[in-house]
Formats: sequence, structure tokens, C-alpha cells
Amino acid sequence: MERKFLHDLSTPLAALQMNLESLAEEVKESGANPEMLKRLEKCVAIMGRVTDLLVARKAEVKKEPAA
Amino acid sequence: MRSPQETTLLLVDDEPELRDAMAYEFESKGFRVIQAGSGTAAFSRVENDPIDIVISDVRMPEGDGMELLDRLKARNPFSPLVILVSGFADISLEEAYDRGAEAVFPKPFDRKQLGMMVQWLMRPLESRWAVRPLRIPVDMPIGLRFQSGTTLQGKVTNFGRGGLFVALSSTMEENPEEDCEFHLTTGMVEAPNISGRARVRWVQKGDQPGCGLEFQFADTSCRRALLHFLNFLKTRAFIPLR
Repeated sequence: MERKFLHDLSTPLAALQMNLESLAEEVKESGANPEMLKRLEKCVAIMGRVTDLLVARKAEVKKEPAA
Repeated sequence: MRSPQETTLLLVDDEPELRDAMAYEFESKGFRVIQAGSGTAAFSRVENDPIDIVISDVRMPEGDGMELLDRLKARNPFSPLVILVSGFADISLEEAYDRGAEAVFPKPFDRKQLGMMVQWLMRPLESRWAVRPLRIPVDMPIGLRFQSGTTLQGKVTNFGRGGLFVALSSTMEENPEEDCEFHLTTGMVEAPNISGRARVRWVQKGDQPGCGLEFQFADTSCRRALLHFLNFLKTRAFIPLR
């Protein structure tokens, strides 16, 4: 059950992370709106934390015997 | 080496959101990108289009990634090259590599690492293996705990043969020669976390604060993972500068 949940969560998270990071990079390169860039970079950092949590949980669940 | 403009990628995933995000990423770098929503659809694209690299999800309802891999490699083991992106416990790394995948990434993956892998695969084998890089940029979270009780969070941006560079948000107070415990989140399927002890060899101040750490101790499983990783990187630096 949890394995499936973690699997299902992985794809939208991957899509979200890619979009956020590309967006932050583009805003940075454009040099526009430093405040927006700051907020976007915060989102990227938070997203990174969510990803780290997911990766850590996957590693834990992987050690458990499959039901 | 082929340019991105001369390289066609086929992105295969039943989730259009992830396909679109990857397509945007690679198209903005100049690649020609084709998308498919299943393994079956992907295989027919390969038969009709000159595809260089396939990036495919593993679990899909109509023709999964492993089936696609088998069909592609039975057709021609050398082309297209295949990168598998695995959700969770869909496949074992051993099986994926044995059946012909050139690379395997867990989801969610690091887009920079995926991009670097594509660039790497675009090189002919001979030139790929001839490169001994001075440093290989990575981006891995690391936590440091010093004997004083101070804890620091940073990012490992480079590995050397004997240590690593940690980028920090501010200059650290600790002095060279102090020891710390480190906890590295690699994001790699085979070893997601590596812990051990390291010694600060130098502290970098200024615009890009950080420090150079030399590995001192890791337990058996972490040591193995670290050695495996470092053996893959084969960088020239012992402890990389930045």
C-alpha cells in the first residue's frame, strides 16, 4: 500500500520539481523581479526538502519485507 | 560529439505532466524531442523516426518500460540508448543494466544529473571513456556535526578521490583539522544515504563559502557505497576546490 503511494507520489513530484527549477533558472537569467526570484528559490528549496523526505522514506520502506 | 540539435530524444511516460516538463527542459537546450505515452507507442516511434536516446518510465499501463527496453535492445543493442526512470521498486538496478539500459534514475530525479547523463551518452564510447575529469559537479545535501555540537547543513558540489567540497550558505567558524560526522543524501537508489567521519582540511571564505573535507571513517556498507561511487567518478582531485 505504502509502496504504491510512494510510487504514485514520485511522478507528480518529479514534474513539479523540474518545472519549478526551470522556472527559477529562467527568472534568474532574465534578471527580472528579484523578489519573485527569491520566492521561487524558496519554493525550490522546500521542494528539495519534500524530495529528500520521499527519498529517505523510500529507502526505509525498501528495507522492509514486501507485503 | 553530436550537438543537441543533431540529437533526438524520445520521452516515454504515461503521465503527460512529467513528459511535458522533461520536453520543455530538453527543447530549451536545443534537442529535438518526441513524446510517447506508452511503451507500445514508443516502439512504433522508434521504427519510424531516427531516435538517439529514449528516456522511459518503467511502470506504464500499455507496454511497460522493461518490455520496451527488451524490444529496443533486441532490435539493435547500440541504438537508441535507453535511460530508465523508475518510480519505486519497479526494477532492480542489476536487472535493468543486465537487460541493456544505459542508465537508471529514481523518481523524483535531479534534472541536472539527468541532463549530464544525456550529454554523456551523446559522446561516442571512445571519447566517453577517455575523459578523466578534474571534477564532476554534483548537488547532494550534507549535514555536518562537529565535536563542539555545532551542526551545519550544506551541499556537496564536488567529489575527489579522498574527500569532497561542501558549499555552505555562510563562512563556517570551525577551523581546519577539526573532525566532524557527516551525513550525505546521495539520492542514488543503491545508497541513498552515506554517513561517516571526515576532517576539515581547509575553509573557504568569501562569495562561495565552504570547506574541503577528507574522509576519515565510514562503516562497511557506507564505505562500499562510497568506494563504488568514487571509483565511478575517478576524478583527479583528492579534495576538490569548490
